[in-house]
Amino acid sequence: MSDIVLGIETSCDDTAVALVNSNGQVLSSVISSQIDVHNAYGGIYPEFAARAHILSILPTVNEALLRANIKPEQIEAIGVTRGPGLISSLLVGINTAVGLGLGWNKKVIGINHLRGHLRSADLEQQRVEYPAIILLVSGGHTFLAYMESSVNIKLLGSTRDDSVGETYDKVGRMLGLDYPGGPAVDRLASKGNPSISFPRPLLKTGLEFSFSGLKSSVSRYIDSCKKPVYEDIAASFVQSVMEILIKKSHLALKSYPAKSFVIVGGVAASPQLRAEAAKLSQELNIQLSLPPIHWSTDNAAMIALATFDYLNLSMFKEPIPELQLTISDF
Amino acid sequence: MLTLGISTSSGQFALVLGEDNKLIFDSDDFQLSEKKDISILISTCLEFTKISVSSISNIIADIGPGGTSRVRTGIAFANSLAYSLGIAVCPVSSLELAGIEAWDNYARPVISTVKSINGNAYCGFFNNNKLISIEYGTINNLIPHLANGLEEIVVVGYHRELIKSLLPTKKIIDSGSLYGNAKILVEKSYLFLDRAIFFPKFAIPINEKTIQR
Repeated sequence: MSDIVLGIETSCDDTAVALVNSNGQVLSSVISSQIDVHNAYGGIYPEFAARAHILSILPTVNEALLRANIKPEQIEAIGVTRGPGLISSLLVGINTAVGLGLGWNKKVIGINHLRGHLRSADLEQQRVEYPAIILLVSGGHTFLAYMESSVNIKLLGSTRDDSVGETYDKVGRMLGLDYPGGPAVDRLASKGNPSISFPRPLLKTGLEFSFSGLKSSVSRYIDSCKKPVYEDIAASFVQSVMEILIKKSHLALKSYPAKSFVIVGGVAASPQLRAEAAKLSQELNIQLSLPPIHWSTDNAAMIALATFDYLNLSMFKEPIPELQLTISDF
Repeated sequence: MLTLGISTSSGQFALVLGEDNKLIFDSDDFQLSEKKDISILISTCLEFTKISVSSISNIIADIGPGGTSRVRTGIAFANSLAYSLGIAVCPVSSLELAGIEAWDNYARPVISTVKSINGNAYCGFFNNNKLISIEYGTINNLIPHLANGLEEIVVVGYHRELIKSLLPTKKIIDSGSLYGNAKILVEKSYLFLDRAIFFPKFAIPINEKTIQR
């Protein structure tokens, strides 16, 4: 049996295909970005995302095979994101995977996108020491989970409303910044003074998150200001977000016996979050596991690596869209 | 020569297999169309016909217009299967499919329509065994222009009643159909095989943007 999985990820606005082996070595990872498609809307337009996927999926598969110099016969299985995500986007990836699997006579497994994110920290090198506390912060999700191993996961708390990445994007739009808002807001924040006291929702209430109140507060502040200083607004907003994320992570790390603290998802690319997380880990003497920034955002290498977990457990999930998957699901 | 036909643009998913224009499998016969799952359709087809997928010579795919996610589902599968087998995919519009069937029955010019968003529709005009044009807009704007100079018209699709009311002086033949039957994809495959494309080309769904290009 070969040791290579083809991963396909189309849950949102990136068409991604990768070839990965069971050690997490990435043989190729190709991502066709749709930033230009959605920039004009300040967010993701699902129908346009799906249209872009259908145009780019096969060239992306082909490019991934070429870059890795791998023939289809060398692939053990195909792992494809089955959810959560945008249904119209998921359908393109799933049905492409089904067609490839049939033509190449390969097993096709439907993978939980969230489990892919959790495995992203082990791409290219083993970084996570278990048990671990994991903070997933992305455009679609925000939660803390306890991982006894790479497959035994307990959800500790998630957002009750908006994800942190979505909040970043919306605040970015309020500040007149391009989509995606995260990196632009962080850059602007680095030039400002966090002088505005924005709320920290649910700060002292368990491990759940809430960001809609913070977002509304930023909007009200901008509306009420005659001459808003955008750098200071960004800096104050980022400070609020960081305090929430770090305080919740601190509570989780104190409550569970973790050897490492893992941060994944697009917001893990935030320099402010990386700096604050480093401080926290040092304070608690816990290993900090941060995947390289290019593995923090959606990619197919993480889906391919997660596929090995499913193969090892003989967990052959059908490639059928499932929009309501949680981190506890396979 | 084995030809696989896939049509997912209408409310029902259909998969057909034919050998030299002779239909040997039609998913409609298995009451599978409501499943909206290509995997079930193809596995039933291969099991029933005892044919290996590698024996398929080409794939004829309905590229819409129709339900956007449904069309993409069929096309994503058709493209990737063709790519993985190294065979051709032949794109066919759902409006052409409807036109062929209605022309066969009535031998009159055909207007077929597919509902779209914001009060718009796709209109296909089919005459003398050929799809002449596909247009996008409101039925009220498109139909008088398409019907100009015609005395008799066959109508297919969602807007049949509306078209009758818009053209009170014309003889309108109501086909009674909402869309063309997928079995045409294999029974008339000779009409489509000359448009075969191989990767790096592949089938692309019809939408309002592709029509305007």
